[in-house]
Amino acid sequence: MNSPSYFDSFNIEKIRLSVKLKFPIILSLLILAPMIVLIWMGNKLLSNNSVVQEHQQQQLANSQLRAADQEILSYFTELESALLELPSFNSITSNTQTIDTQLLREYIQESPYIEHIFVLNSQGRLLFPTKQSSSQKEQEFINKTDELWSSMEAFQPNIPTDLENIKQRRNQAEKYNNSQFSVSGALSKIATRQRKIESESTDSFQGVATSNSSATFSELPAEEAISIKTNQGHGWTVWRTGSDSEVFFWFWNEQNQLTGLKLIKSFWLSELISRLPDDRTATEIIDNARIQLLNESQEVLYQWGSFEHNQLDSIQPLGQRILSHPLNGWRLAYFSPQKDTTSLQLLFYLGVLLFVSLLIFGLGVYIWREYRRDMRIAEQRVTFVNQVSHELKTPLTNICLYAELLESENEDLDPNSKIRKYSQVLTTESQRLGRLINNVLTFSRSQQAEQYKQRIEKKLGNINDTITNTIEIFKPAFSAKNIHIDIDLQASNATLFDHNAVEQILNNLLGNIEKYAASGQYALVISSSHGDIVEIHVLDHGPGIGKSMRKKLFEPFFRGNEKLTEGVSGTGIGLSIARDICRQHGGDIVLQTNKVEQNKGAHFIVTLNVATQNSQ
Amino acid sequence: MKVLVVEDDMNIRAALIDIIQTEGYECFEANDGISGIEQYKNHQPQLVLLDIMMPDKDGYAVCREIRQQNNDVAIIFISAKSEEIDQVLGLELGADDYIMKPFGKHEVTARIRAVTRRYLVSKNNSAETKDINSQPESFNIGDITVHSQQLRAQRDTNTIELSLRDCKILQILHANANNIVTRDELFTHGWGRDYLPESRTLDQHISKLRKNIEIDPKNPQIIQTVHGVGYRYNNEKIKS
Repeated sequence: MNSPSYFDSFNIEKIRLSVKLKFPIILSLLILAPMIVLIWMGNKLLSNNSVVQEHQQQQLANSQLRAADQEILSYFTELESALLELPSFNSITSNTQTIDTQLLREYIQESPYIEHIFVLNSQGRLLFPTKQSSSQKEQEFINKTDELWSSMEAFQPNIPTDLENIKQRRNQAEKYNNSQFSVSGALSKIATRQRKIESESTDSFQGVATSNSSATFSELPAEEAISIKTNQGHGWTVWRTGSDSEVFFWFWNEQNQLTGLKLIKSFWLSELISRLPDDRTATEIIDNARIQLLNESQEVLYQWGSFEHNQLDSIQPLGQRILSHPLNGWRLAYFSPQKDTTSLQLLFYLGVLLFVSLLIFGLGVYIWREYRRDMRIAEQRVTFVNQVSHELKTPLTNICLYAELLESENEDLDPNSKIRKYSQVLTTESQRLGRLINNVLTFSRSQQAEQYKQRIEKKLGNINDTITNTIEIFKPAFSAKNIHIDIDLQASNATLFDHNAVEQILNNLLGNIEKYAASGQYALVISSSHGDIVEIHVLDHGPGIGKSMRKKLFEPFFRGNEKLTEGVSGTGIGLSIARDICRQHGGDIVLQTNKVEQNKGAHFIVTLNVATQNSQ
Repeated sequence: MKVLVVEDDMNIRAALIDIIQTEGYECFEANDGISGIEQYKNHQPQLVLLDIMMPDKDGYAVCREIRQQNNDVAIIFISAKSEEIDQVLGLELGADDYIMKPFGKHEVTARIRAVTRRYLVSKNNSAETKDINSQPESFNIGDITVHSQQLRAQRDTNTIELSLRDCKILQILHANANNIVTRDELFTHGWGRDYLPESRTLDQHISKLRKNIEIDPKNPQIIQTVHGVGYRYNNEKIKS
């Protein structure tokens, strides 16, 4: 006996396997695709959020720094106004042509905020303190700042000074301060104090000025007097002395003299700092951040905010701002912890992802279970049909056997006798029922799992004998319908083929002729061998197969048009089974189309691979 | 040749026995696996027709036991399920052939004849088949050549399928050419000594044989009737 041939049907089994895997693959894709899209979108969203957050933090830092800078600028603007309005000082410098050095020295001594004063004429000549009559302290000051007044370029107005602008800035600063940044009380104290000085020494001040300084102003040439009129305004000048820097306020008076004031640094710095927020008030404005005020030497002069960090120097500030004039070299630095909202968002996103994934997965499982349930029901139906068909087999075997025995027992009787006719009907119909059951079982097996499917068992034999025997079985039915059948069997005698498979293929083709092509009254079966291929042609002279039907001819349960099938019983699985078996046998079945025309009958060509397993 | 039929369905078993006996075999029967093995041991048949699904002991087990005793016996499985046949092949039980239900008389006959041919060829001249092998393998009778071991006859290019009994009848007629072979002799040679003859049985069989081998069965040239005595093969008449 030959061992089972699995290679014949290898390709078909592969196709069937892929069809069986199609649903789980599609389902997996349906589950995975939205999850992948979700992960991708989430990732994108998170990175976008991170950028937006960084941008927002940057914006916040910039706005905070800008506000602090405005406040510092506002302080200097106010200080500037306060200095310009000092009545006593103005009376010393404006109302006399000469400078009373003694009076100025006293004024400096009395003043809590002025360290030095210098006065230049329009030519840039130092009128006070004079090199000849200066004290040691003044001499040091002159030596230190000699270069400052050697050029008048340092005393050009470089910030807007119109009143409207100052008012506007002050309003802005007040709005920003919102009571935390109190307008320096010290400035009002300056004014009060100056008024007091003024009231005490106006007369003598004026007198001193006249007597001691008349030479200075009277010596001015006429051209200079003209040019003086072009010098006006006031401003701030920063003078760097080594690692430190000094801030000077200067203004031109009506006598075209430039008066410069060197303010006591500790004074204005403390004034300035008092306007900036402290740690307590800062928390109400900026949450968990710290702003540092640094001088040119990068020394931290002041800082505020609630953000605590051991090594603030080591971390990169979120934002920095170089201060406006006059503190050009100074800067503000904004520190804030990197807000870890991204991880919160990530957590939220992961939660959503998990929820959606579970939802999709649950849906997938539900669909899979429904699919499996439907499959199970279908399998149960197939199993039921299978069981019933098997149960029918034993009684049917008895009917077949005894009908044929009866026929053989009555062979001597007249062929037209009733007994012969009846027994013949019994035989042909039981054979038809047998074919039907075999078809149902073959079809149900083709729908089952791979291991249960029918296999091709090739055995050495004479394929022409099998064809002849099958035709013999059909002869009574054919003769009853006046169908004449011719055979031309040229296939080689020793062939490796599955007897049952060939029989079942021919049963279906000849059964179709009996049912649908009896009107042609002719059938022809031809066999031939071409190497490892055996061809079996089955032709008839029936109504043929229309073009519209050819495409679906081999599909299960297709039964052609009503005209052809009217009044003819059939399941529509015969040709589908025949094709399956042919393909399992390494061949195929086709309808010869080039010669087929309406009313010229059908011509099926069966090809079978009859090679041994090894030679395939 | 002896054939054992092991089948639990009574009607199928009876029909099979009828067909097998008509073919010219000596037949024994069993309705389950256990009695099947007993019958095998008692009669030592050369061919066993074995149903797979049976009570007590299934066909696979019976096959294994028979194979343990004699590996040369031909076994044809009978099954309703192709899955069972898959198993037979998968288990490599050494089945010589199988018959799927539903089957008819012609299929059974064809399968038995095919297995017998293989068996006769492989057991040429053995004691078990001396009844068929005692005669020459091929001989001419009339215008046909009979190949006993192949259970076939040849007329020109046409092949004629013969049963074991057909071959035996043709053999005795050929061996006694031109002489009358009596009905008793034909019965003894074709059916066996123990067989109780019915005159109709012989006549019916000869009639079927004539339909098979004669060109015109109504005017037989090979097997001629000698009324009331028996049959005769007239060699000279054919030659003339």
